[in-house]
Amino acid sequence: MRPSRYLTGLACVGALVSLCALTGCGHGGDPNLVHVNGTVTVDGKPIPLGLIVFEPDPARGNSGQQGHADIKDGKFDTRQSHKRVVLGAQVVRITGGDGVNPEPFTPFGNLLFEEHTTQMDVTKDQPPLQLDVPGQKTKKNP
Amino acid sequence: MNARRGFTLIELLVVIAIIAILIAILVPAVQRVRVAAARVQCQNNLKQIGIALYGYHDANKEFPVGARVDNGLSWRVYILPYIEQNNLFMMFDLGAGAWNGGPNREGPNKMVHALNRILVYNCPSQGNSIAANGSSTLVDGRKTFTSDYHGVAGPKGFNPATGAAYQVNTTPTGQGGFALQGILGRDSKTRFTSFTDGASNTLMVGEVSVWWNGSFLASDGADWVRGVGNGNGMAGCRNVQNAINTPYNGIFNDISFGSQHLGGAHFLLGDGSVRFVRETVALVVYKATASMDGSEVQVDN
Repeated sequence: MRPSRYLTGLACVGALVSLCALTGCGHGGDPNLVHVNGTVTVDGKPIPLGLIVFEPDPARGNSGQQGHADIKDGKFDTRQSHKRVVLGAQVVRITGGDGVNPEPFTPFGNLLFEEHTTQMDVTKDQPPLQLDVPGQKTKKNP
Repeated sequence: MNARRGFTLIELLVVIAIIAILIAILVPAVQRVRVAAARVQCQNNLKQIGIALYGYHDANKEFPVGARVDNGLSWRVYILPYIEQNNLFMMFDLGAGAWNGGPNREGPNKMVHALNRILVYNCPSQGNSIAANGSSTLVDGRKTFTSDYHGVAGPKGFNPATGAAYQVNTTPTGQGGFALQGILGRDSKTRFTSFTDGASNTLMVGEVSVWWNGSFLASDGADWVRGVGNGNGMAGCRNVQNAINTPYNGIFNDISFGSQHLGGAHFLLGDGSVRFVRETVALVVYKATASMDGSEVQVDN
């Protein structure tokens, strides 16, 4: 009598635990959204800290949500921000700083350049990007 | 027969396990209710701000300036009489000169009044309502209060309806300039009739909650009194350049709208309604709704 009650209790606990585990999230896959990674340099040197934003270019007929990724030591990957990029024409905006003493209101340290804007196309199976920013415009902190 | 039969250890453990599971189910539910209550409170704050803006419009035949250069004050100061803070409003000297002129930044006319917390200006989901930026701390070390609600100065970027860029005042430079096609911007003077895109299609006020290095900061870190300070930093309003909840990219006027509500932010629209806008909304649609006179075709989504 006693062992069976013990087993029933254990089974109840097991069932509840597996129920909790099963209700976890699955990943919805939109085929028009892809992850993009690559490197960003300023005058050939990696950007220590920054942000890259992919805006679907309305001037070239593209629309959709924005993708973005943090830049660290010249590398970025939208897998880390979970903000995927829409296929097609993009306006790419890059800001970056020297990474010295980042604070809330100078998140990348001293900015190495004002916001850099460029255009590109993102394709399915996008190979890693290699972007270079012409730099050396310094900017005052707020 | 012995009536006093005790529990075995195993029975006790099973009971404890069941209680633990019940608590584990209940606690997230309670948390969800708290989050939902905070969202409703936030919507209500925006609704109150909307009524105040309309009250101001009724009395003055135009909406308050978003961020005024010659006295540095924000629209939040101008609507104080319409949220029953007339006594506080009377303490402001609207003609006292620019933000950085003489003793103005500290007071007696400006930042010192931000020591008063205005509950309607803070979202309850944002746990911290102290202005984090050092420039919003008084010389004697007292911290001022911030506001999580900012005027929509307008969009930046390409307008698909006109085939040209949205209007932006780029001087003075350094902080992203000042978008001009929104309802509440730098030295803006808009009326109800300015919303040629339609009042229900135009964003007026939204939430700001800056994401930085893995944690949220209160608002943009500036006190709620400030409109334009330090020459080019617009604290009372924000340009719409990046999507909702984009991390801060170092360009102050372009700090994105965002909130701690999951997946988007609340906005007050030009018709006084409050809507939750998801962060995954197409950027071109988001920017179209940020402009009041861009002639874009609006699509609901």
